[in-house]
Amino acid sequence: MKVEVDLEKCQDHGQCVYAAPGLFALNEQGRLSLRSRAAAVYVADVAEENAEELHEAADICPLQAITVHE
Amino acid sequence: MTVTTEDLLPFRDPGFRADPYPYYARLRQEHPVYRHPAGLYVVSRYEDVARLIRNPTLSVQQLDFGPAAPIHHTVLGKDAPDHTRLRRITNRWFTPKAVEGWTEVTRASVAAVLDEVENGDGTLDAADGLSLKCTFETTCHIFGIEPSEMDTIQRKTYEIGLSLGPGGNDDEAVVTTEAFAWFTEHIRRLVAGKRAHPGEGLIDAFIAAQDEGRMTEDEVVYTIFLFFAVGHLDVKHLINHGLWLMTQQPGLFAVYRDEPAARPGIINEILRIDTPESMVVRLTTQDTVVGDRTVPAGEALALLIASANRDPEVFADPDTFDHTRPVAASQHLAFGSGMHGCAGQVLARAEADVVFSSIVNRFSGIELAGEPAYAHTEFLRTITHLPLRFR
Repeated sequence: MKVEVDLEKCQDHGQCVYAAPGLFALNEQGRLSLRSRAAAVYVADVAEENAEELHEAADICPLQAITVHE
Repeated sequence: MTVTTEDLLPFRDPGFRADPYPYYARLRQEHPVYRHPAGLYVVSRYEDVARLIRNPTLSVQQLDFGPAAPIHHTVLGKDAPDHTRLRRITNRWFTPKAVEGWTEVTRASVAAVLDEVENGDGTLDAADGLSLKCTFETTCHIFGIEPSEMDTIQRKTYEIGLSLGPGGNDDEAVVTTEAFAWFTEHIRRLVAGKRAHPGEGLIDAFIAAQDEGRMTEDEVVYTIFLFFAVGHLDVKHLINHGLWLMTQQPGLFAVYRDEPAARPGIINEILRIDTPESMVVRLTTQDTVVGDRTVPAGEALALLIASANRDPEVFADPDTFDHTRPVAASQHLAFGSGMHGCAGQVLARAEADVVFSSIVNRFSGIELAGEPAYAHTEFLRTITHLPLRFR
């Protein structure tokens, strides 16, 4: 499965970090750490074992910036 | 930073409260990091505000809220890890899926109001009769309680808001203390009622969290207060201001009706151009670079989100309403951002859309049926009367 994060929608609330600490983190500036790897849209493979926390993160994102591709 | 004897943000000046935007413009231009006579460092440019509002070293827990100290029992007054613990208890209640259910309540509430308008003389004071009513009824439904005490809750919330800005005085502090006392008693009664007659609402979830040791009693009481407050305070201004804009810009009504894809952009622009809460306040816990200055630890920073939202460096022609602004160019900061960003923004946007959509789908236009009345503070934008005629 893949995760897609729209970094223009994202406002760094960090809810995904609480829901899926294995997938998301905030950097020292309080911004999503994966911003260093993409400018507008971040896409990456996610292991099946992380499926549940990924769905949880996608669900609770206040900006709905996370999409899961099965 | 500049030290001047002139007060560039006269918080108690009626002219400033009515229209703070020219003052903000001068600050951004001349004093982007301004030491206010009250002791605050005021930050007004978008770039600085957007960076600082996400800065995890800034504290809300160490701020002195004065008579509004009970806010320290809520997410607004806690840093990690307490903030994280409390926010996790409620975040599932405001996901898009949950919000779909909540807005059915908003929709029914709006429909009932508009039925009365249609069967009556076609006029309505939308401030209390629509914007407050439908958001308050939605909040009560989420809590799992019957709507009651709506007008008192609105008044007491406003009285607490008086002390949240930097311009409060002793009289307002007394009123704030009394308002908290009222809320504490009212909410304890509601919680006792839910313990006697359990249901499946948010208050029941708080009771369970308290019984499991995940929330203290004070956290339960004042989180319920907080949701009563933010359940109407800011979203009511979003709705009122949007309706007022539709009376001033007749084209807007038709665009909202005919171009569903434009609706999110319209709601964003309403929030940008007249941001309901003008600022957030944080305390530095270490030397913090702000613009070209370094602010030492232990100082209060007022981050003027309403000013950031009118920064011409980010929003071209910022005083003009333009819902076609490119989304990617930037994002307004009306809901804040970072770990204290508004957890209810999906609901707020959805409630506003339900009101606007219901109106444009049912009527051919709205116009002012009298002069609106305002009660802006230095912190909160507030429309108290909005007489409308529906055509």
